[in-house]
Amino acid sequence: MQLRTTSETLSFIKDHERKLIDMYSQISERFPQSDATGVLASSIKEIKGYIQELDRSYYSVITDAIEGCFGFDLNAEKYETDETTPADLSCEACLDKAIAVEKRLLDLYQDAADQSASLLADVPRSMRIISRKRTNRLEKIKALRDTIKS
Amino acid sequence: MAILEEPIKNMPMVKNYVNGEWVEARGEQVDVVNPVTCKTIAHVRTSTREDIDEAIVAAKEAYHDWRRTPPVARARYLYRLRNLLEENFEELSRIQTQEHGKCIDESRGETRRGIENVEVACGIPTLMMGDSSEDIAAGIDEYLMRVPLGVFGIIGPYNFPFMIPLWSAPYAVATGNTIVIKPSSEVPLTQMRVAELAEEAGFPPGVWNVVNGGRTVVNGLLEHKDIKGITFVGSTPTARDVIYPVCGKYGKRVIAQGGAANFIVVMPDCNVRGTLAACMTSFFGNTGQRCLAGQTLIIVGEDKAFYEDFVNQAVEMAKGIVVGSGLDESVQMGPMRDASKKQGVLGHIERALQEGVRLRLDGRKPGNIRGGHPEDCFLGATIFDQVHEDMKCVTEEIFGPTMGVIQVKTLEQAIEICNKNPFHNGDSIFTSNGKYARQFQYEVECGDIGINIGVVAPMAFYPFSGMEGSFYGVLHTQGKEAIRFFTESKVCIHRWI
Repeated sequence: MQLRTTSETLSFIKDHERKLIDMYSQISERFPQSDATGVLASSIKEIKGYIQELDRSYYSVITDAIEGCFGFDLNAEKYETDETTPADLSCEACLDKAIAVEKRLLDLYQDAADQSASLLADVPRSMRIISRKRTNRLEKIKALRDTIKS
Repeated sequence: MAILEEPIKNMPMVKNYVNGEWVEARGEQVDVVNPVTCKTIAHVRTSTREDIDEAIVAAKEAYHDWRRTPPVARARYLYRLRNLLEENFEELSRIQTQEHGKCIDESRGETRRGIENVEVACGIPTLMMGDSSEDIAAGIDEYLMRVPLGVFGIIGPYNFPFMIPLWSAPYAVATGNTIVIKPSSEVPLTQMRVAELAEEAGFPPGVWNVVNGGRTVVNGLLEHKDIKGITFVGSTPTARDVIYPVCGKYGKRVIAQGGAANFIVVMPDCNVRGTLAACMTSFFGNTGQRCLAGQTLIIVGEDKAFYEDFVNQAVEMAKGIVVGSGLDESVQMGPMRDASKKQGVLGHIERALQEGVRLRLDGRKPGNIRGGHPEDCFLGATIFDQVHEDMKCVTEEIFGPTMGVIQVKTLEQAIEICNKNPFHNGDSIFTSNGKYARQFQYEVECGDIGINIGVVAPMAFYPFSGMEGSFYGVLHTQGKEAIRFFTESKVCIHRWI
């Protein structure tokens, strides 16, 4: 499936972000000790902020919505993610999956920003800001995984 | 992909909103048809002369108190309206899509644009400030006030049912006037919803009125002695031959925005990927039904390889445009507003072929319509080249999803073609060279100029400009020019002995 319009692309992104929020919530509930440092809770809060940031830039800026039907040309299959946390998976394995999801989403944001930069304005800017925040966030999730591993 | 819910249900009857009451007009009933499904979604009665006269009387009576409401207080009504428009943003956007056919991205952009005009008008206490001079002679002071005039008529087109009336309405009421809005009878539902929100915002009865109908309403507004001015957006023949001269005859102020046949000039040093994406939006966005849509692409330079590569890429991109219902988020281009407009575009394409153009992409039969909707109002993107500047496909407005391509040797030749055209609305250049950009900006004779921008829609705090052939009047809608249009200067010189 090709993602071409801004509304479709953002719906796809937000859907995956919400699934990631659910994933972190489930990990937190199943492995309460995993969130001892509050990393997962703050990740959930930050991801909700990403969704808000995308909505604000899309709905609030004239140019991006008017030009939005031709902003992207992304292969959705390339960015599909697996946010499931089967019962038999350890905390470390769940966090490994979460890290894979974060990396896939990072690629999506960066590719989407690059593609739309010459036509849209504020949406790609927001995507770049989120990419930067996500990169920092990813290091914290990795550090949490390493702590649990050890 | 997300398929959004249709907001209009249960076949409503669109009523007039006059003097704070919802009244059914006295004229014949007309269907409001969704161009995607070709199904009736609402009904509206056209208004008679009696209906329009009643609205004008109500507006005139309301003017006395409204004019005496301080600007700060008037602004508060607009703030409330703005908040209500925001709260109902998505519903308003989907109504536009359902009755017009445009894609949801485009509707949301339109909603944002319209709301921005309300926001700018909220600044009326500052925008309406005058001037003063102390001691123009010893002990004598002089000052200027901007004062409202009375009742204004606002006539909207079919292609932007939400935004275009808001290019005028907020400024008219902010400055102390009262208004009678006539939406296009093809797309009356959006302004009905806006009027509901204006009622909820608490505008006193008679300040904000909506009268539905066609020519009878237009004539009623033009001829009534109590209408002080008209803002109109529509075709050039109507703007030039009806609205502008009749307003002159009756001494009314006028903003008459007409049609366009805009150019996009591509220099060989442009960012090709960005330019192509912008061309897709400009030529095919809103299915070409924009007065800022590109109609003719001018590629500058003698490099045939660049020309062919650019046109081939444009064809490939346009070929892949997804056509269907605008409430489907995956769709990039909706239908024409109705079947007769589609036939009009087909007629233009046929004539272009007779004039000798070469068809590079044939969108006359849209083929795969996502969602399997009837073909009646749908077109695909059409591209043709070997176009000459004197062909009718360049000099007449097509208002559909077509792109004609001309190749010229120099930027000077491109600018000459732009300036020879009967319309002068919005032209763009795509280049990475500041010198070319500045030359284009300086020499091209049109109201809205894009440099690496395909749809040159001015923000609400700038005028929506346009020149000869595309505009008749002096002042434009939006921003400070709209404030000037809806007010008169009153100069006072005083001396106290």
